[in-house]
Amino acid sequence: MPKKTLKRPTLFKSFKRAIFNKLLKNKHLKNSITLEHKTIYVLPSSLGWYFVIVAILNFIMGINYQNNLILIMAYLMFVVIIISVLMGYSNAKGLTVTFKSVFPSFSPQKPSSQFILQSPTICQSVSLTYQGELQTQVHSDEVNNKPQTITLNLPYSHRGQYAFERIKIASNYPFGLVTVWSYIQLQSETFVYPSLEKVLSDEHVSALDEQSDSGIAKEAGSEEFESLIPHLPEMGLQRISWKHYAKTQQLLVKEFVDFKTANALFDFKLMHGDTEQRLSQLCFLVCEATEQNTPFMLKLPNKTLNTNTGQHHKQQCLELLSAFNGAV
Amino acid sequence: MNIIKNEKVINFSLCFIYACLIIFFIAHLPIVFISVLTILCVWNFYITTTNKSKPNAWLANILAGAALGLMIYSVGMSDTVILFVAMLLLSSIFKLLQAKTKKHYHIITTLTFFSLSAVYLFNQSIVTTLVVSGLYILNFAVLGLLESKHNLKVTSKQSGKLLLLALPLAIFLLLFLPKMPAFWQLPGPKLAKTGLSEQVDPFDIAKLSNSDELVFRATFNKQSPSSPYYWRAIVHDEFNGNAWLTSDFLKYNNLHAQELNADYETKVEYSVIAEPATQKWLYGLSFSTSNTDGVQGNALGLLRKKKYQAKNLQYNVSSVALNQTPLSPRKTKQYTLLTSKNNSKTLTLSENLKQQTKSDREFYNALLQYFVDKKFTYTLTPSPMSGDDTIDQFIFDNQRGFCGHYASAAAYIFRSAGIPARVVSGYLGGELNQSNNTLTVRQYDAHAWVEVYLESEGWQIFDATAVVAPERLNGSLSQNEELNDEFKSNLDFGLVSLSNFAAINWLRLELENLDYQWASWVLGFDDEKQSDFLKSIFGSKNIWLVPLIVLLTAGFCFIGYFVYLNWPKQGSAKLAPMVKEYYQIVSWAEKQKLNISENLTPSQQLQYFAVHLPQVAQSINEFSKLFNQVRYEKKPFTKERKTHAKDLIKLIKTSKQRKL
Repeated sequence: MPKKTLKRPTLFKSFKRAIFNKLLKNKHLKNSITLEHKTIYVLPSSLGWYFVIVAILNFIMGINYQNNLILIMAYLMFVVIIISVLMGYSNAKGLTVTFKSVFPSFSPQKPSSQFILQSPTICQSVSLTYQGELQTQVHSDEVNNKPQTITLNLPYSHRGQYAFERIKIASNYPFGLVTVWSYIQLQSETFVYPSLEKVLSDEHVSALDEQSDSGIAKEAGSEEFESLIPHLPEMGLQRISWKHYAKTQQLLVKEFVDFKTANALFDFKLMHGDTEQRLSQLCFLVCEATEQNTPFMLKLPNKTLNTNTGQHHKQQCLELLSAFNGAV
Repeated sequence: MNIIKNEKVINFSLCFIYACLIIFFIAHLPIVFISVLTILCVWNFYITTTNKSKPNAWLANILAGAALGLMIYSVGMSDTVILFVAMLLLSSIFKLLQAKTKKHYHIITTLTFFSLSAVYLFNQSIVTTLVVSGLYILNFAVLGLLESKHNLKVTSKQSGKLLLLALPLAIFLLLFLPKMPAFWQLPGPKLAKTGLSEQVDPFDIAKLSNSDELVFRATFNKQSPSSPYYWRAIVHDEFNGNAWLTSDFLKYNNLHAQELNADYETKVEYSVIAEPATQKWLYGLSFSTSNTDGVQGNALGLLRKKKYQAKNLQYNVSSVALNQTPLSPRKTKQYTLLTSKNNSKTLTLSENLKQQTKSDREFYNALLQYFVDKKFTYTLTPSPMSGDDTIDQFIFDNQRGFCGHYASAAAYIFRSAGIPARVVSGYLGGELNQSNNTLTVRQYDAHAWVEVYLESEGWQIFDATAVVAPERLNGSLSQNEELNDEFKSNLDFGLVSLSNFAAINWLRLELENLDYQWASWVLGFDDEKQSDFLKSIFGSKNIWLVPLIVLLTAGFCFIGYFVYLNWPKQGSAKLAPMVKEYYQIVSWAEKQKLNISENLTPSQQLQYFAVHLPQVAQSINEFSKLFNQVRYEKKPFTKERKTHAKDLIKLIKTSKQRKL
């Protein structure tokens, strides 16, 4: 179903938010919430309101036609909706929703977050709704005392840094006549990284080590044969090239080195295209460099990250790229 | 979000509900419209069974427009209630045909709650109530299905439970919540069926439509008066040549009841429960008055509803003999007026009779004798007569007819002889149920007779049927042997037509009694009865307690239920299979004074028991094996294993006893 994006006046929106926060008294500013008396809200759902209207119509009809059977129908409907409120409240009470983790994504994929649901008594038909401009929802039919992990996709597909909006925890049990709900306001944020754009040539990879002309560092190692050097007494016998000794009667030792790729510099200015394209290219390079274990430095117009390598560095770079808000 | 998990079942259920609703309204809606609704219902059913997609919006809207036009054309705008019901049904079924999202289904189910109530406007019998209640539960189950993944059985059970829980409180509210007067007057549904009409024109009727539909029930307070019972409903005073009508003059000059001036010895008191009917007229014996609100008497001793009401009406009547006071000259003229003189032979007959007799009474008797002598017969299937001289045709040619013929002809003869006469229609007799002193009157008891004003005697009943078919006077047609066959062949199929079988007749009477109780206690529970009921409980002084008690009780019920829901449930945590059985053995071993150690695994513990109680070692080892199979080898805990475990426990326990 296509979602409608409602354009509300911002004044109204901020006013609404202010009212909400005032009313809710920051009770929901947690990463884990257990639904209890203070934090559960109950009202008839839209279906419940229709139901009440029909009950009132039945009541009027019953009174005007002095018809006991219609009247009892109307009373029955009123009693049922009150019972539904009680049942709905008891159903949701005790439910614990805990924020587990958030998984950032590369645009245009959407990031997702994981929650753990648990309830001492059986809690039926729970849904979490992310209340951003666009809403996403995840539903669980039954929650019991075994922790249950559910994944809520977040409705963001454009590059950026997003703070978590309020998440509504709601249940329409039973019969959908009432909505029992609560909120969880996570103190966390998520990122949508730029999309990956493949870069083939390495012209933009500027050499960083000025002192090394080839841009390649050498280090004593064990992988690649480099040269033969004269044997020194402390070197031991295992590395002596006996072939040479047989030919020349000279004790020579094989010298091995590890090649280390050059430290790279990924510079925003050296990329091509508009801002997003450049960020996408940088994103690709960062990922590839991390894959190949190449230390790199990331240079953006407003910020530079120093040479480093590893997952943490990658994540820092990606977050920086996501949050970038400058222009070419 | 909007995915409906049980769409097929939901569609079937709603189809079923609407099919039932259509059946309920068959009698009240034109057949064309009913067939349109049925086709739509079947279409939806077909789509659901064959998993075809629902018709697109354009097609459905065009069809809906066409159906709406057809509805207005066939149902008409005159009866707003039936038009409203037709619209409700049509829109719901069309919505169902198009429904795709959860919201659509929500709208349909809520509308259904209203449609179900509308059934009660037309029919309030026990069977209807049971069926509608069933549909009510089903409709709730549909709501449940929209919310959850459960199947229909589970949700029906849930909704049944919920409604059972809510029903006592709803009944309580009905009993104790003060009944409000109607906010505004709504048009009552017009019920088509009737046995009487304002016009008695028997001559063009070939076959009397007989229905065994209930008209009213009367319960006599003391001893029931002797039959025949002439239940008066309408007086016709104007003859237009073919039919007897009620003149406007009669209607508007007798609106107000006069003081009863007759002797009170003949006073009969009884209460009547009238079934819902469109007309305002009610039924009473002789000169009737009523002290019930909403019922008014008039100068002719007839009773009328003050308002149109589409529900059962219970009222008290006291009846005395008809007015004996001399007629004013104006009234004499009114009751002897004959504008048409076409039936010349009858006029001659009347003149002859008049000449042969000296007094009105003698004329009365002579006329009765005439009907006997000329061998007039009673039939329910007369041959139709037409023309200007229908009475002549009847008296001299056909000589076969039913009450309407005799009444018409007799009143004509009396008037032509100058004796004041009027035709009265109503019901004759009824079936008396001895056990509760209740008389049941049905449509086939409809009757017409003549009231004549005899000099010095006052108004008297003249009923030629009494001499033509005397058995007709006592009891109902259904109890009339001679006319029974003709009567039954005429009757729509029903239990009455099977009344020859004793068992079925007994069953019929029992059902009727039940129906009577239903009508008098459930349907007839009005504000008057309520205030009596409340006064009997609280006393008239403490009536102000009622709202308080209602609020408190409702509050207590809800709080009690809430506490029950939130009560920490013990043992609700389900034990794994076999664990309960294991604990049974442990507790048994404890009684045998064996050490129970917390540190042992169940297997070790059982091993320990087996060693120390060698007489049951075999059973315990077997149990241990079973326990391990179920708990650790993930073998299913089947019924056989369960009973096996139980048998073993029994064996273990009894073996000890045997040893003792």
